[in-house]
Amino acid sequence: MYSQKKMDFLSGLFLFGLSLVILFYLIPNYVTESSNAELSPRFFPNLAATVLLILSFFLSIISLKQLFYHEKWKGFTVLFTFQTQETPKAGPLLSVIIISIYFLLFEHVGFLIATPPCVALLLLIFGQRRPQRIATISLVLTGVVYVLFTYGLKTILE
Amino acid sequence: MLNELMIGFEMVLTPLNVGAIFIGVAYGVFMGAIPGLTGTMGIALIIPLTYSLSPITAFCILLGTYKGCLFGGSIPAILINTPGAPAAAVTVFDGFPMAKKGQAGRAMGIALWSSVLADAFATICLIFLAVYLARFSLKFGPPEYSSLIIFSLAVVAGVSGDSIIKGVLAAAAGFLLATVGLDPMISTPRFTFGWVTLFNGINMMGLMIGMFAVSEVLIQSEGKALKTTKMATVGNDSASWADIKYCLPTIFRGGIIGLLIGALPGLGATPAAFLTYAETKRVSKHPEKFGKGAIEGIAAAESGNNATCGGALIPLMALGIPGDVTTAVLLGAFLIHGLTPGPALFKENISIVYAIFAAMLIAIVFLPLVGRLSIRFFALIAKVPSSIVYPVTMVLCTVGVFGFNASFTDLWIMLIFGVVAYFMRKLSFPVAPLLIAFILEPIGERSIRQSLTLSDGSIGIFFTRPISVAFLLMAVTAVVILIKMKRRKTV
Repeated sequence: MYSQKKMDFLSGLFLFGLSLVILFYLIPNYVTESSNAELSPRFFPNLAATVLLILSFFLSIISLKQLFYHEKWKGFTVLFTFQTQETPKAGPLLSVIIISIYFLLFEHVGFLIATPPCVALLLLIFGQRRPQRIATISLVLTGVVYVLFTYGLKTILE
Repeated sequence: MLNELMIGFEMVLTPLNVGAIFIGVAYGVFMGAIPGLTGTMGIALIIPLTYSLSPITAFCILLGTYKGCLFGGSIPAILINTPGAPAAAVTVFDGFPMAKKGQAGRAMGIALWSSVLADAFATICLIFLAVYLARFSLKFGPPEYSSLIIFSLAVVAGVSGDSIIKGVLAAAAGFLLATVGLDPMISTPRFTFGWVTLFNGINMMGLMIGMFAVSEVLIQSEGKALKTTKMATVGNDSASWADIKYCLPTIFRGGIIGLLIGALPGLGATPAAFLTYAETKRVSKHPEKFGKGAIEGIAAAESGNNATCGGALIPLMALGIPGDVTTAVLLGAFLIHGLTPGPALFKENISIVYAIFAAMLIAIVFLPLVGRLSIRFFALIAKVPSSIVYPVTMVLCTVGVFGFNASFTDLWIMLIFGVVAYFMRKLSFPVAPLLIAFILEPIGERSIRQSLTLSDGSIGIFFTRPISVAFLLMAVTAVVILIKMKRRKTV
């Protein structure tokens, strides 16, 4: 509960900052204004960003208020310090890196070469340790998906 | 009318046509069950194979495919938290929690029978009410669409989970993301950063699969001892008659909502599934169970989704107006086979019209048969350890999203939104409102701006048309009810 409220406060703060950037930098610079329509092309982006701004402010304030009255409250510095169990785990980061490399390889060397090594690495991350099984799954999956999509569904995987 | 229907059955009940319907349904379920492959793609791929067939046989395959795809999307939604098609995104809310509890077979059974019953209801309505409903749908202009979307957005909070603020924040983010691309009215660029690829906006398939499937892969990659963990236990559990009976009012509600939403051009199955879900949650005696594995949640999503099939064919056949992208592809198939949908079709080719209706009814009979077989087949996924399923899911999602547009940018969009959704889920932000707002924004923005152009900028246009006023009143009522429910919860 306490940790959740802390994260709510920080995510509210992050969204508040993001909505300020959207309202005062991105919309004025990257949404072309026009007087040819009843409603400006900026109207809906401004509306959504304003809702983000107001609600993220409320989220931060409500969370801060709940934290302030919590028995664990020890001052504002606690908001920006993290305990060991709150630190991110390696699995998702490694997965994102492998998937990114997979997409790059897919684009530059094609599906058939890119898929087996990346599937093998993902299988390792997900806990598979038997080399024979990893090799078989990587190769069979690549072959089946390639044949199905290329010949069955006429999708060019290059 | 019954005479014509009997003649239609006589035309369809040949071994070739019946076989064509069976093949169409089986192919549709398969296509729907692969994440990224939609009904639209399934129909588009099979059209060339129908060139040499008679129009009736061709429509037997095409309509079978259409119905099969709508149900097929629920299978991966339940088993691997990955909707096979956008409309199945709502099925994920309760389907996957049930699978995690070891009730995947029951969840898929409820999805199947809800699909079949709602589809049967919508098809019967199509047969008897097509012309009248088509006339009613013609009364929907931009102001009515605007108010309908405002009503839909007003009930977004209904799928927000525990925190309405977080739900509306997610919806605002989805709304903002949907504005990326060319302005719908005057085509000026918005947030494209000079990048031509973004002119068409953010690819919905990439966003949806990223938010549901990739985020799930990332969350699962945190786990320990995944090697021995199974995805879900299907076992011998299946939907009982008592389950179906319990869900009948929900299925009927989904049938009506799906039929009406389907009959309105431009909306499609996703808003129908979402609105049925929100409405079912609102009237349920146990709304707190929704999102945690409520069978009514699955029944609502699937009945709303599948009933659009009959609904979408109403404007297509009676007026020649396709209700969504899939029916636009079907319109192409009609034209290829020498039929021009519209009022003339009912006068000049009445026998073919009723043969199509008969084919749809036969397809509904095949759907449970094929559905049960496919549930058994796909249930094998549940027996495979997670350590294998998630890497395989990642590859299927990659080829599915890539195959949709042959665009590598879509793959990066999928990954980016996978990471975004991973953090959203970690921070307890609901993902569904973002997706729903993303889908509804383009329809709503276009309608509101068209309405204001029609009225020279006066907002009075929304308050002077009865249907529009009715939806706005419903929106206000929905917000009031949701706030009251929230207050009661906190007290």
